[in-house]
Amino acid sequence: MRPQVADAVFIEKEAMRILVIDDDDQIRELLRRTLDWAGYTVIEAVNGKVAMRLQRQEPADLVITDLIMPEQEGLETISSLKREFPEVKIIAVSGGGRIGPETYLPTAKELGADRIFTKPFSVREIVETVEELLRHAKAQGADCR
Amino acid sequence: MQKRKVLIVDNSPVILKLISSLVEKENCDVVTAGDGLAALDVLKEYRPDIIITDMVMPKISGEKLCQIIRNTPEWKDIFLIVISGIALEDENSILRLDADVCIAKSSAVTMRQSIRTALEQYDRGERKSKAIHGMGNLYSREITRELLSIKHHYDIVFESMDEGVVELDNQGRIIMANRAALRFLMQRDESLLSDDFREHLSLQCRIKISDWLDNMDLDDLQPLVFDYDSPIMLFGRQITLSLTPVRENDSFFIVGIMQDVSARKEAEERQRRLEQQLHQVEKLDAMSVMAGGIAHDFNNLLAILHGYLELAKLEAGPDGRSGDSLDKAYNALEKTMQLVTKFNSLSDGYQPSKTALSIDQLLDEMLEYELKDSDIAFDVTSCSDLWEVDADDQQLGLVLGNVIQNARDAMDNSGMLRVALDNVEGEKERRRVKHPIPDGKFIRIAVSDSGPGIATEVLERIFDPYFSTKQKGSQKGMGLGMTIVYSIVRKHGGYVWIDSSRNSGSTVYLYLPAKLEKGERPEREFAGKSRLSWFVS
Repeated sequence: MRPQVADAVFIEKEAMRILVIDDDDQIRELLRRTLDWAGYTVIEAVNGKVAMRLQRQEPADLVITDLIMPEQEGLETISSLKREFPEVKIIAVSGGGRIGPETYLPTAKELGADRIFTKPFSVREIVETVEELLRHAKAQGADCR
Repeated sequence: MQKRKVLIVDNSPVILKLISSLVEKENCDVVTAGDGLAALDVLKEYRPDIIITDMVMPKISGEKLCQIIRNTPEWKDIFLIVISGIALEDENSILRLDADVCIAKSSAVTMRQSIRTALEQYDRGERKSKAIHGMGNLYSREITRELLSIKHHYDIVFESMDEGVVELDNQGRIIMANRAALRFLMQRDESLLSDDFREHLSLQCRIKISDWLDNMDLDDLQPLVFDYDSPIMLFGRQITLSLTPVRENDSFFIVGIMQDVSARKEAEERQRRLEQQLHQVEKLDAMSVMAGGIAHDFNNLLAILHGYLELAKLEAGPDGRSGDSLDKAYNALEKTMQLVTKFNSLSDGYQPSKTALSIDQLLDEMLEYELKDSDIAFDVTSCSDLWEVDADDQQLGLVLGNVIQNARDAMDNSGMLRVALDNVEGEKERRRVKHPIPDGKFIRIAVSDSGPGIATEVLERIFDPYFSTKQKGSQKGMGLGMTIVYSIVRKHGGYVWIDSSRNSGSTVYLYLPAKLEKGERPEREFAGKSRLSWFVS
């Protein structure tokens, strides 16, 4: 049951591109379905390398990235994204484990991630955060014009 | 004139007879003994005025006999006449003997004259003459000098050995002991010689040696060994002992060799204890690596479960039909996530965020909280200028909570819980308690309960993950409490150990690093591989 929104808002949301980067298929699918449900256009990448290629082809407005992945890891991706696309909003997500989230998330924030989440996260909070960040981006964009 | 009482000691029956008949004619009562050991036996019953002794004898020699007599208060005034067959070659040692008269063995006529003179000296009360009688017609023998020189060298070697050596006769009586043996037995020559060796050992050893002696077969002599695995105890030392019988004509004597293995045993014990502790650390380190790996995978899976459940709830809307079922699943999942967080605190990656804090307030809060529903009283004592600790307050709360809960459960809800807070120096404490406390300044928290104590086999496993004496289950206990305590304390650079035995209560000792003053350098490593460096050094 999709939330009742005005068509205009819906179209506007659909026009918003979100790039989800995670090497875990299931996490990626969860985020895609959640954001689909919320009405956004979702593009997926399995690692930072693929993500950067996709971003250069057609930039997304917001990126949700895992921090520890093979090929190109999250921190590096965040810093490349911010360098090439200063306006893109970034949400960093990290799981616990051998190297705890405490170690990486603050660095991610320093590198330019707008929000940080630890696994397991609340998808509702992710959706709320995405909406908030994009609203903010739109407002900024309007100012620039 | 009263008859003089004389004891004559010589292993040669001919000489014994010769001297006896001579002395008897001089108005003396005579008792004889065939060697030094027999002489000591006679002396226990009979106190002579004069002893005439040969020097070179089996069993206890004349030299030793003189030494014993001069060092035993009730015998030391006996008039001592020594007769030596090697007087000419070994003049100096004979004169050192502290005898009253020395006579060289020579022709019967000369000896008779010398003994008569000696008895006259006794009558006149003339003692310690520094001359040897009857040397006139003697010639020095080169071979005797050489043999004596070799013996002298052997004596030095024998006396300087670290191994204790005793010679026993076939009855188990001590006829010779070197310096090391005297040291092991805490005895002096004069009190030890002629003693039954068994009298100086424990009852258990005595029985073993008696059995062995009783069953001795002269044609098949077997040694008796108290080896490294079953040493004898002598005045707190652990000593190996081998008793080897040696055949001599129709009898045997016994050579006993003793070796002090206490230092080696102690070193081994220390090593064993270290290995045990190291094993403990390795086990827990393996646990934390595993916990880290599992936590990572688990978090991913939980994120997915959690996400889909949430998404399903969102998709179902506020009044969806499955809402209640989803809520129940969601609640169970929340609990699972808390467990993972607990588990995660064991992992290497989870580092404490430390701040300076004073322990007493946190301790009071935890005590109040954990004991509020019980009849347990508590008492906290603290040294006056307790240092601050450098610790993560939440994790430390978890540590104190776990320790207090365990104490509470052990006491069955009544009794007295005592907590003592002290400042300690790691190095001193390490030496005192013999646990690998790191260097540096620590606050020691000693939590003592009045419970029944912990059995040794439980104590050995108390820090093991999933080891619990409580009823298993998520409410009662999972066996992670002490593992978490251990893990957190170690991550802080501290140490924990438990002192307990059955029926005497338990004390948990927690050591937490003190906050360093400005400019003070840490003496220990907090994290990473080098964390254990002090452990193996």
